[in-house]
Amino acid sequence: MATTALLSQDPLVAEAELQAILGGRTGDGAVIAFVGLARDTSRTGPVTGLFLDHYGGFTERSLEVIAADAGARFAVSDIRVIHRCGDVAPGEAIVFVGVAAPHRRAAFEAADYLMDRLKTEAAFWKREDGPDSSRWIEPTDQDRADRQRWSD
Amino acid sequence: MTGIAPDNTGMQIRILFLGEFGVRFGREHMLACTDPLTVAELRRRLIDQVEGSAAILNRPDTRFVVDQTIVPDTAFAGPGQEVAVLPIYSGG
Repeated sequence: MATTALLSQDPLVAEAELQAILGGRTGDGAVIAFVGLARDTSRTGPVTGLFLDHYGGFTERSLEVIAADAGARFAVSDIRVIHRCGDVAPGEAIVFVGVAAPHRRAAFEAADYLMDRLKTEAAFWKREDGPDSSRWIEPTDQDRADRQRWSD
Repeated sequence: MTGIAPDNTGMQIRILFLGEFGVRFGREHMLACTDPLTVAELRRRLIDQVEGSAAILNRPDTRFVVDQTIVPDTAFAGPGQEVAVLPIYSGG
C-alpha cells in the first residue's frame, strides 16, 4: 500500500495528479479520481475567492493520517491526496483524491471515505470571501452526517 | 508580531492563533514565563492579556496544540515551546 498526502501552495493541476496515480499501473483494475473545485457562489451569495489557512506540519499530518486510515480500511493499493492551501480562486481545484485498487468497489468506497473525512477532519480554516464581506466556514450538518456514516 | 512583550530573560512561549482567531487577535504572540505552565493556566494568562479573547478561548471546541500535538488542559508548555490555538476545523 502506498500513500501520498501533500499540501500545495501552488495551483493544483488535476490532470497531472491523475497521471501520477494512473501512469504505469498494471496490477490494478480501477483508478478513481475526485477533484474538488472552488465555487463562485455559496448559500450566502457570490464568492470571489477562498483562503485556506493551515498550521505548518500539523495540517500535513492530518492529511497523512486520513490517507493512512483509508489505506488500512479498504483493499486499495495506492492513495494520492493533494490539498491546496492559501488563496484559491473560483474554478481552481482545492483537492485531488486518487485511489487505485484491484477492484472498483474498494476504490469508490475509499475515495468517498477520504472526502468525508477531509471535509470534517483536515486541519484547515477556510474563509469565504465575497464582494462585500468574508466569513469563516465550519463543517455543515451534512458534512458531519457524511462523516458519521463511516463510524464503527 | 503582536501581543505580549518578552521579559528580560527571553523565557517565552510562542503562541500562534490560527484561522479566524489570528485575524481577530493577531497571528503570533510571545508569552513570557519562567516555568512551564499548564494549558489551563496559559489560557487564563492569554485571556488576561489578549483583549476580547475570553469567549473564543473558553469555547469547548477551541483546541490547544503543544509542539504539534493536541493536548488537554492539564498538559504543560514551557519556555521555548510553541502553542497553537485552533478554532474548529473548517475541513477541506
